[in-house]
Amino acid sequence: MSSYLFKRFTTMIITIVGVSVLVFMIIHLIPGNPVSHILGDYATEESIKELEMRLGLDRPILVQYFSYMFHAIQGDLGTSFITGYTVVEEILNRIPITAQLALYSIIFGSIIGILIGVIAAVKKNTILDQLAMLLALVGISAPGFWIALFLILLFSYQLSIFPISGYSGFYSLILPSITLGLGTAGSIARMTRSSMLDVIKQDYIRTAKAKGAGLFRLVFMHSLQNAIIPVVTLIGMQFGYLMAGAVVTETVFALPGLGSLIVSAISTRDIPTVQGLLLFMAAMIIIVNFVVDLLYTKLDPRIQYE
Amino acid sequence: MTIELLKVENMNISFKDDESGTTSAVKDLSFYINEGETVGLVGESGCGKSVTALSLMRLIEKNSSFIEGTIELEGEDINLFSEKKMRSIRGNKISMIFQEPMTSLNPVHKIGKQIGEVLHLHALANKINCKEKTIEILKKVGIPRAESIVDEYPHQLSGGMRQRIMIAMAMACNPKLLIADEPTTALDVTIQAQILDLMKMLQEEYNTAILLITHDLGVISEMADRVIVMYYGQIVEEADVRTLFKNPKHPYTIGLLNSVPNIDSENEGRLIPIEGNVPNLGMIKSGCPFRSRCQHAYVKCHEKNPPLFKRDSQFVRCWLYEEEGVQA
Ligand SMILES: Nc1ncnc2c1ncn2[C@@H]1O[C@H](COP(=O)(O)OP(=O)(O)O)[C@@H](O)[C@H]1O
Ligand SMILES: [Mg+2]
Repeated sequence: MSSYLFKRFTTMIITIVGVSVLVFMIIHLIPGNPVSHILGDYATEESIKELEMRLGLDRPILVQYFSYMFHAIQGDLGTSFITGYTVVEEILNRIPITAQLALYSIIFGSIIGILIGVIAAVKKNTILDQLAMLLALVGISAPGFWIALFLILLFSYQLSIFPISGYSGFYSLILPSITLGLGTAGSIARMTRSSMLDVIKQDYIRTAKAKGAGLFRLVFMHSLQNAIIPVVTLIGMQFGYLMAGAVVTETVFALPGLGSLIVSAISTRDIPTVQGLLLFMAAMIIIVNFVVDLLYTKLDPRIQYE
Repeated sequence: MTIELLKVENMNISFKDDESGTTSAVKDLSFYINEGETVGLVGESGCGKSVTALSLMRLIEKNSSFIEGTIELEGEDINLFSEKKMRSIRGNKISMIFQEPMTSLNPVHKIGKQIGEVLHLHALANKINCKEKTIEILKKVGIPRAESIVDEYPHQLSGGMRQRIMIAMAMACNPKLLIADEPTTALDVTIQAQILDLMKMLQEEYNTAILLITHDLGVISEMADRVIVMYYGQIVEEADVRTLFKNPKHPYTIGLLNSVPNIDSENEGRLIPIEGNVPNLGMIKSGCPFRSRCQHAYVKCHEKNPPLFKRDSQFVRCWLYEEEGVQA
C-alpha cells in the first residue's frame, strides 16, 4: 500500500476510535437511568442495583468503555436491553432496508442533481437556469418530513400509486428514496453547475470545439468528466446526511430500517442498541468517504497514490 | 501558381458590452491567405489577433459577439455556414493550436483518445484502425515512443511535448489552414525552435497554409512569407516579409522593429520600446488610434482615421503616405 493510502487508512481508524469515545461519553452522560426505565416506576432500590450489576453498569466508565471496545472489535456490540437480541443481529435484520434506501436515494439524487446542474450550467443565466437553481434550493431547504408528507398526500393518498407506509419490497421504497434524495439532488445540482461553469471556460474545451466537437460531446465527454470530480466528493459526504435523513424518513414511512430502530432504541433507553448503531453508522460514513477517496484515482488520472 | 485559400473581406467583430451597446474589437479587416503560404499576424497584446483567429473558426462566444463580413474558404463564405456545417470545417479544413500547451489538452483523456477523436469526428478513422492511425500521426510529428504515449495522460508530458501533440491533432485531418495563435510564446527558446521547425516541415509536406499569430518579430522573420501588422483591431500595415523588415512604413511597425534586437538596426543595438499601451476598446472615438503614441502625429491624425494606402504590394494605414500611395 502506498504511503498516502496508509496515512489515510490510519486516520480513518483513529477517527472511528474517536467517534467511539464520543458516542460512549454522550450515552453515559445524558441524564436518565436506563435501568429504572427498564424496570418501570415501581422498581425497588435493590432490584435496580441488581440489574445494574448484571448489565455491568456499576463498573467505572473507563472499564466499561474498554470492555465494550474489546468486544466490539470482535464483532460483539452487546445485547439489546429490550428485545434480548444481540445488537449485531438487530443491525443485520434492519440493514437491508436502510442500505437500499441509501443506495436508491444516492442514485436518484446524483442522476437528478447532475442532470439539473448540467442543464443549468449550459443554459446559464436563462429562465431554465434560474428555475433549476430554485428547485435545488427547495430540495436543499425543505425539511424531510415535510417532503415526505407532501409526497404521501399526493402519490399515496390522492393518486394511490404508492403505499402510504410500511415495507413491501422495492415499490414501497420509491417515495422514501425520493424524499431522502431530494436534498442530495439539490446540493449536487449546485455543485455540478458551478463545477461545470468552471470547466466550460477551460482551454481544453476550446480545443475540443476547435476539433469540431458538437455540444453533446463537449458537455458530456469533455466537460462533465472533469466537472464531476469535485461532485464525487460531495456525493461521498452526502452519505452522512443520508444516514441522518434516514432517521426521519424511515420513521415517517414506518420502514423497519436502522433509522427507525435508533428512534425506538432511544425512546426505550436501550443503551447497547443506540451505542452500537451510532458506532456502526459513523463507521459506515467514514468508510464510504475513504472509498470515495480511492475512487478519485479512477476519475482523475493526475491523482496517483504512489 | 498561387491559389487563394482564404479571403476575408470587411470583417467586423464586436462584443456586447455591459450596457445595451456593442464594442468593436476588430474593424473592417480584409486579407487573404494563399495555399501553402505562411501569413504572420503581429501586434502587441490586445490588438485583436486572437479574436480574429477565433472568429475565423467561429469559436468566440456567439451569445455575446457578432462577426460581420465574409470569410471565404475556397470560395465559400463560411460565415454564412450553419453551426453544423461549421463543425465539419473545424479541425478538418481549418485547425488551430493555442498559446497554452499546458492547459489545452483535456486532463482526463488519454493522448490517443484525444487525437483519435478528431479523426473520428471527421470520419477519417473507425474503431478498428483509430489507434494505428493515431500512432502514425504521432510518428509523423516526430514524437518518440509514439506507441506508449497514446496511453499516457497530458500531465505526464512536458510543455513542448504537449504542443507537439496539439500540432499532431491539428494536422491529423490534413487541414488546408492551420491557425497558430502564439504557438511558442509559452515555451523555452530551444523548444520554440523545434516547434517552428516542425510546423515548417509539416507545411512543406502537406502544403498547409499557416496563419501565424505572434508578437515576436523574430518568429515572423523566420517563418512568414507575408506579414499583417495589426493595431487596435485594424490592419495598419501589410507587406511581404522582406519588404516589411527592410522598409517598414507605419510608425507602429517601425516602433515594433526598434523594440526588438536586430543586428542591422540603425540604433546600434539599442532597443527603443514604444511608449504607452494599446488603448482599451471603445476609447478611440475618432482619428488614428495610434496617434497618442506617434511622434509624427499631426492635425489630420486627430481628425480622421486614415484608410489603407497601397504602394506596390505594400499597404499602410497612415496619413504620412497619403501622397505616395493610392487609397486601397
Ligand atoms: N470575449 C470578449 N468579450 C469582450 N472583449 C473581448 C473578448 N475577447 C477579447 N476581447 C477584447 O478584444 C481585444 C482584443 O483581444 P485579443 O484578440 O485577445 O488580443 P491579442 O490576441 O491581440 O492579444 C482586447 O481589448 C480584449 O479585451
Ligand atoms: Mg492573443
